[in-house]
Amino acid sequence: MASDEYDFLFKVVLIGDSGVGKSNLLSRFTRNEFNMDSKSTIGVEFATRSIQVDSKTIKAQIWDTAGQERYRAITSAYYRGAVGALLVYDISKHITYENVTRWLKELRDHADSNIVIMLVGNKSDLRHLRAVTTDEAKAFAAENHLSFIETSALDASNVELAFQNILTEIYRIVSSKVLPENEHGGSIPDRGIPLSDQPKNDQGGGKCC
Amino acid sequence: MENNQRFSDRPTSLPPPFPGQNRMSVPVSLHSTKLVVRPLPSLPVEIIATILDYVPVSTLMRCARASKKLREMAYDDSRWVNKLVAMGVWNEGEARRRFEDALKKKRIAQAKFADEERRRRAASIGASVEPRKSIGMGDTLFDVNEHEAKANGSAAAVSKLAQDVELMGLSTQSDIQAPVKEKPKLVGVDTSDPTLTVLSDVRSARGFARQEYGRVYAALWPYYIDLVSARNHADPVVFRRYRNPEDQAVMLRQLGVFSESDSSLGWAERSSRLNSMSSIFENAVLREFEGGYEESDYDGRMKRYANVLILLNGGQGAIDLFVAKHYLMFERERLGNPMDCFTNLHSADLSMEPARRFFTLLSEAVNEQSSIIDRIFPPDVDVMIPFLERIGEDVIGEYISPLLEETHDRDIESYLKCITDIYFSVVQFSKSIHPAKGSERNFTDDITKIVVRIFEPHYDTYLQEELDHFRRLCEEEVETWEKKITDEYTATESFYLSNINRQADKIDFLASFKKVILMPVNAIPLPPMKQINLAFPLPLPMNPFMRPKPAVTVAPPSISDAPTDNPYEVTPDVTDSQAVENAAPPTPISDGRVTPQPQTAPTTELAAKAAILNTRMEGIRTLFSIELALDLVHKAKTALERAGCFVRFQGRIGEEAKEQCEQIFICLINILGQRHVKSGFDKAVTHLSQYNPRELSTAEEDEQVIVKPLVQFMELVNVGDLIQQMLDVFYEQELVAHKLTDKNDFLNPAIKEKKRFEQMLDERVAAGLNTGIDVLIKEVDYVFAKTQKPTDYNPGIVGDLGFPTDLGPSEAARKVVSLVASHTKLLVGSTDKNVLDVFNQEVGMRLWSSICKHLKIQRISIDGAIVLISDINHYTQFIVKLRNSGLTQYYNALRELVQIYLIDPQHAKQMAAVIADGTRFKGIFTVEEVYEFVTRRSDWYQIKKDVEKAMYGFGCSVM
Repeated sequence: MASDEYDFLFKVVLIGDSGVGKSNLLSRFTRNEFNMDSKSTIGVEFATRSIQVDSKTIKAQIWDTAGQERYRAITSAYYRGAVGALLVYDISKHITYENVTRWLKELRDHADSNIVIMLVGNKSDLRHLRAVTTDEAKAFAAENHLSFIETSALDASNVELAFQNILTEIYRIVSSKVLPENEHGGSIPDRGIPLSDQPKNDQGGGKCC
Repeated sequence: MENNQRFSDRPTSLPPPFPGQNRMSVPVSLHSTKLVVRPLPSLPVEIIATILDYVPVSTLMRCARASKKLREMAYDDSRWVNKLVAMGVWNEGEARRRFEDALKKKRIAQAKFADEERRRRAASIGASVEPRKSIGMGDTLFDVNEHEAKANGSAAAVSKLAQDVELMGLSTQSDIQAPVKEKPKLVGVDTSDPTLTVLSDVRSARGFARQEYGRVYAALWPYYIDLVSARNHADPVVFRRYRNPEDQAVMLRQLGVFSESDSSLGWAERSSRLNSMSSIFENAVLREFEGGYEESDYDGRMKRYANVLILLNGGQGAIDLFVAKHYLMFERERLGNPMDCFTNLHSADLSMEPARRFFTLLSEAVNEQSSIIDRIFPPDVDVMIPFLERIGEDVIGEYISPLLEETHDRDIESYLKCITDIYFSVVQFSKSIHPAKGSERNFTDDITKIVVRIFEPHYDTYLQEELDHFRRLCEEEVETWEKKITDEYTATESFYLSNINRQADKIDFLASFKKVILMPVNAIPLPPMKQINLAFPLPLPMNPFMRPKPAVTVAPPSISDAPTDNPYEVTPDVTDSQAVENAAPPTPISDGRVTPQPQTAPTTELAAKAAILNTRMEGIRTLFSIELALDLVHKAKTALERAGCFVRFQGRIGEEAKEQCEQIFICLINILGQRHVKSGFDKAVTHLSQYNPRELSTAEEDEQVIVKPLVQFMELVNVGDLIQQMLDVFYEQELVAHKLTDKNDFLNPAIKEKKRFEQMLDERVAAGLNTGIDVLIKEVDYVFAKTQKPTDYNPGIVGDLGFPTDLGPSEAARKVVSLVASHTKLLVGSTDKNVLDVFNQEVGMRLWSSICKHLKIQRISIDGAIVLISDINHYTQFIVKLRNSGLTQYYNALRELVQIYLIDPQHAKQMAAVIADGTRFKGIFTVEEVYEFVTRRSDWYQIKKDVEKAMYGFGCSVM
């Protein structure tokens, strides 16, 4: 199935309220597209993109989820195996920022505890409509040990950087863990394991590169 | 008062009304009559009045003296008006105007009368009396004023009346007479003799009819009575008194007119005597005229005697003689023999050159005659039209009839060409004729009428033949083609597909088609009589006619400087205005072909485009051909152009020609539609329905999956659409633009037929699409069956392939989408948007059911769900592009649905809630259906219990 070579495969989910621009962040990152009149996502959409970190190829498998999914049975399926999460809010809509707390709680409940979370304030191009200040969000992020960035899928600012940052961060964590874990092999039997460094063996959680 | 005085000053004794009548005996005889009559009961007034109508004027006057009552009746103005009317010299309009003017003036005068009495008197008398006197001979014959004044016996009344009279009859004379009465010009007549102009000098004034008539009577009666009683033509005073033939003619005419008012006993005899005298005179003059004709003494004798005849009776005799004796009528053979046009004795080879030469010669001769006519006849007599009528009938008619009959017998095609050719020649001829000075303003209309008359005997046959010929031609064409393809059909069944930018090709093709259609083909002459300024004598009018326009670069020199209105014609680059291309009708080429030279460029261009298109659409060549359609359209165009010539005729011919044009169009549609396109579509549909994907060779395993018969069919739709558009353009440009049909008349057969064709096309397309969808979906199912691996959605099944790493649709999904997309794309631009929408909707729905059906036989694991979701997203993406919101809903429901495969087994209970959530799927899936889908989970048997428990409660487990 794998059509290209990679060293690590990370599953990253995009979460946040409906309409904050998750799908456009994804399309900007993976296809460099922006769709002005995109409809709200139904179910889930996937996209992949590989980036280079420390001469390693990291393949990101990004799940763009529907913000309005009500069933935990389904949302938990989104989080299963995810090693990173971009928690997106809309800087021009304060309510979406307020809901960040709820999303965080959901992540803590359903996702792996080691999941790397990045708070993303999207739509930074709407300066005149800004409802959430950068400092406020930054403070909140620091408080909850999240990394933080403001992006605009529309003018593409920081989108690349956001994904780059989270993937690098994941990579740092994983690469520091993989080696010791590799020693006793298959130490993480759970199929929801967040990491996979080889296409042939993602369940096993790691193998020599 | 002066007025009174004036009238009382008038002689009370009238001059003797008629010479030789004894006035003195009148009272005596009347008296005795009265005595005799008195005991008798008097007759009713009406009868007396009627009797008086038949009494000779002299007797009438005598009666008037009998009694006041009789006088009143005899003097009654209407009696005299009637006489004037009988002579045709009474102008009611003038009389009324005079009367109204008089009333107006009277009112003004009355206002002024009191204070400006003196001044007014002096002015009016001075101005009014004089002219009256200068004219007046016999105006005192009856003096109504005096009579009425006496009758009323009132001085005031007399003065008032006198005033009226003065206003009505006299003072307004000078300013009314001029505009109202148009005196015939009397050339060569001594107008100083008042007798010769007595009739034209009659004024129409109410209350004065008797005086006017009296004047005429006094002048003409003696001559009249003398003439009718003369024994031979040399005898009458008229001829002795007037020596000049012009004067004699005028007198004779006046007498003729005067005789109309003669209603007394013996008038018929007198009138016939007069007529026979007149004809003797006329004959004598005609002889002179003819003598002049024979000697070609145009300016001398002919001119003079033509004038005499015109003075006598309008000159009809002279015109008749001139036309009848004209040498052109007898020397037709000299201008050309119709049989010269046949180059070969028996075959139908025609050369129109001799005919053209014939018309040139004729035109030259006629124009020569036109100037002769101008020399002979005065400009107020129209000789040209009767002359041309005869020419049309005797010369042209005689020439073309045998020619047309002969061609008709030999070959229809050349007959059709011949008749239009001749038509152009005649039109050209008619345009080349200069109007003579005497021609009226509607000269061109009259000429057109003559042209119509020339063609009247032929056009019926022609129109019928044109239609028959066209139909026959088309049928032959289609038949040959059909035969050809049945021969080929078995041999070659390879279809060639090129999917490149079909729409652009079509637009391109249509553009050049339109260009060709718009090209004024030379068979259509520009509307006659318009461009050529007839008042401007063209020295070389026959030039463009004589010489066929040889090529686009050489312009026949012509004088007309009308700009060419043909945008496609290459205007030669000449600066000399003398050489600007004539806008006059283009010329048929010498070989009789109607398609003209300048058309060549776009035609070949179109042909090239057609060829390109044809290679691109090679696949459908075997079913129907655009080339053939083009060919037929061209034939129709030629036919229409020929028949179209006759449409310009007014009245019946024009109408029938129009109808025939519509018939040709209908015929075209019928043959093209029913015979050609329909059978093609039927074949394609049959072919399509027989298609079975499994029979196809396994060789083509590549990405480009196509259902060939469907592609073929879609191409057919494209071509059908193209043909339809072609017909549409043709209809607009040829029929509507040339006003051959009324676009807004929905009952018009042409429109109905066109609609029917379009409907037929739509039906065929719909039928084909229906079958096509079946085939397409069959193919989709086949692709599913062939390419969808069981591991796609259930990777765990074979070893530990495990977590799908490369997200994206499975091969099967990609193939299906590309298959469907490539086919839906084919239709874009080729058919109606509604049809397309319906087609897409149907395809989308059928694809959706196919996917659902397909899903229900798959096994799906949680990992495989990702692939499945990718697939479904891929389908949806394709569907969204079709922009059909209804369809999108179905696919969205499917997207919601497939998420249940993501759910972890541990959430089995909640899965039940998802299954039961009807709103989630917007009613598209029922709970049972969703449940059915859930059973396709690879772990179904492990979670079944939990799910069912959650769904149906615990009751089940009790069982």
